Amino acid sequence: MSRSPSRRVEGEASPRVFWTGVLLGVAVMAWGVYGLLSQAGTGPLGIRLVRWLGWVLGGLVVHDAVFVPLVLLVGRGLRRVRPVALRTPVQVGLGLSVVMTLIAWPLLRGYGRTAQQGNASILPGDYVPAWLGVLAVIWAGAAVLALAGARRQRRAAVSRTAPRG
Amino acid sequence: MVRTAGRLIAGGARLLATPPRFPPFRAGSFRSRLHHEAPAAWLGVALGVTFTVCFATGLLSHLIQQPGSWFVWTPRPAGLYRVTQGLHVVTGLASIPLLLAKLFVVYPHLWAWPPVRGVASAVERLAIVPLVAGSLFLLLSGLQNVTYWYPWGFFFPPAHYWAAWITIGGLVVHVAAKVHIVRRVAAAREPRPEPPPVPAAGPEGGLSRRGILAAAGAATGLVVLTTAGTTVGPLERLALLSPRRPSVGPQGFPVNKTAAGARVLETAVDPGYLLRVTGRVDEELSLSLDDLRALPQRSAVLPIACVEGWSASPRWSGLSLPDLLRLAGAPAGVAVHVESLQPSGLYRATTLNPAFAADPDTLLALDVGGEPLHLDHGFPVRLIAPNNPGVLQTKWVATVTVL
Ligand code: HEM
Ligand code: HEM
Repeated sequence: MSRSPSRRVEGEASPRVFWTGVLLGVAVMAWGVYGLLSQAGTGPLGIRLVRWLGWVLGGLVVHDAVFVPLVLLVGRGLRRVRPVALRTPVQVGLGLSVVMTLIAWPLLRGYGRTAQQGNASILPGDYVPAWLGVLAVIWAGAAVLALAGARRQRRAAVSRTAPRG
Repeated sequence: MVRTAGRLIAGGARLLATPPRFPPFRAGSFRSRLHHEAPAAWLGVALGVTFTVCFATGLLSHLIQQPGSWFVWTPRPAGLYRVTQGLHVVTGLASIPLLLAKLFVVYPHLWAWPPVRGVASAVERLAIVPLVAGSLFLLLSGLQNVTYWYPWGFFFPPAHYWAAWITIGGLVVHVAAKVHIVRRVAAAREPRPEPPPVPAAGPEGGLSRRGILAAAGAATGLVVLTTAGTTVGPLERLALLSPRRPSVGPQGFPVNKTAAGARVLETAVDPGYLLRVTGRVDEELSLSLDDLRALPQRSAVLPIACVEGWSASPRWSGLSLPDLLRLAGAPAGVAVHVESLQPSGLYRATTLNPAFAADPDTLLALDVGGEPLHLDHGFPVRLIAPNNPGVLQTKWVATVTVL
């Protein structure tokens, strides 16, 4: 195997593998579209196709046109974080906080509480403190990361200045 | 004419050859080193595993609820559905950080110039649309469903089910198009570089490519830790971000549909309540609650496992269904239809195949944890069968029909 960088970056898919996958994958997708259409309808058991498409394509657009650009923008801002050793911990802390907040969102908002009157076993937790607790764990982890980084940097500096031998 | 056409084509080709001079198309618009094939490939592999698990367990759940002629579900092992559906929901939730990290890493590809380079590349890129849109939808709609947040205005199971087929089809095309890159990335793994001055950081500071994998892994771990306790008993105290706690609810476990919601508040407590056994029997039975209690009782620890992922395993007792069928003189090897007092609703009845109807632990339960069933758990009588999804464990049973 050549290890020249250009070969590594190019490299081609095997046409046989690719077209076999296309055949199989398109068949599976076609089955999905057929099923979707066969159950399209406005009855209580129907998939309201227009709304379904709204959610599916809406999710794509919100993710690609709003969510990621925002993440990139924040990421650009983080390049200004000083000292440099804090950048990774801040990135990790923010990233994990965003993910856990997304997952906690329906609980924090309590949408499910109105789904069924008088069912106290749905969303029984105290989710605001729970979510804050999770964030606290995340940022404690980020702080440990920062301290470890600072220590390693100090050691590296010492070994650079110390006389050899 | 010909010359204009030629010029147009040449102009088009030139346009495609040079990317527009503004971001996000301009070369160098995305400078983070995280936009790289190595983390894309590893996150892809992880998603390949989690989506396969979700698809397999989801299909199984679908088949159990809507068996075709070729699929027969079995009552044993009693806790299998509890495991597969718990796995479905927890693995699905665990995919959220993996998917977000992956889509961030590959984001510049969205703006690749030229947009397509021939037929194969066009097919590959077209398949990305159902893959990405479908993945986002499955994870979002799944999260919404388990948290009882129904904003869509359509019926969840078929919407999620058919989206899964479309997404997996897109995934098959995607894997076929990218598997050579995964091989290349796996082969190019070099010995670990010198430890950088900052953990998981390269020369400019900030996350390295290994670092984003570690961070995605940490997020996945945190999601599992804070949600899996909805079905894994020992983790319940950690299930901070779970919409259900397996020990919270009347008589110590959750309720899906309340008696009020099912509109059985009066019929279920009617002193004239009778359980009817009918259909292919020698003798039709109509049994009052006292009659039922006078018959020999059987008890068993059986999971109640919801399609939404939570589960609990209390001790139930009541009549063993095969005993009752013998009493009514039903033939052996029959299927049984169980109906609720509930006047309407999708899950008011269930059909047990012969294996379930013959299992001695398939109970018409009167008690749970040594007390009469709470009204919300199906008083006076509920079905509880081993390895049966929660929605099919009919509550407020009125009629047992031998088919
Ligand atoms: C939910 C599942 C997945 C989603 C949503 C997803 C999404 C994407 C997207 C949008 C791209 C950019 C493609 C382009 O425009 O060329 C990509 C690239 C890639 N994916 Fe996936 N993917 C998934 C699963 C997988 C799996 C299972 C594998 C492993 C076989 C994989 C391996 C790759 C590789 C190697 C690349 C190329 C990265 C590069 O060249 O920089 N992905 N993925
Ligand atoms: C956050 C992630 C996810 C959650 C919480 C989730 C949740 C659920 C729930 C609660 C059901 C039961 C629906 C019912 O029968 O009433 C279900 C069914 C299903 N899920 Fe998921 N899901 C997730 C992701 C996925 C993914 C990634 C796939 C596949 C790629 C998938 C495929 C399926 C399938 C095939 C079914 C069966 C639907 C049916 O019974 O008609 N799910 N899911």
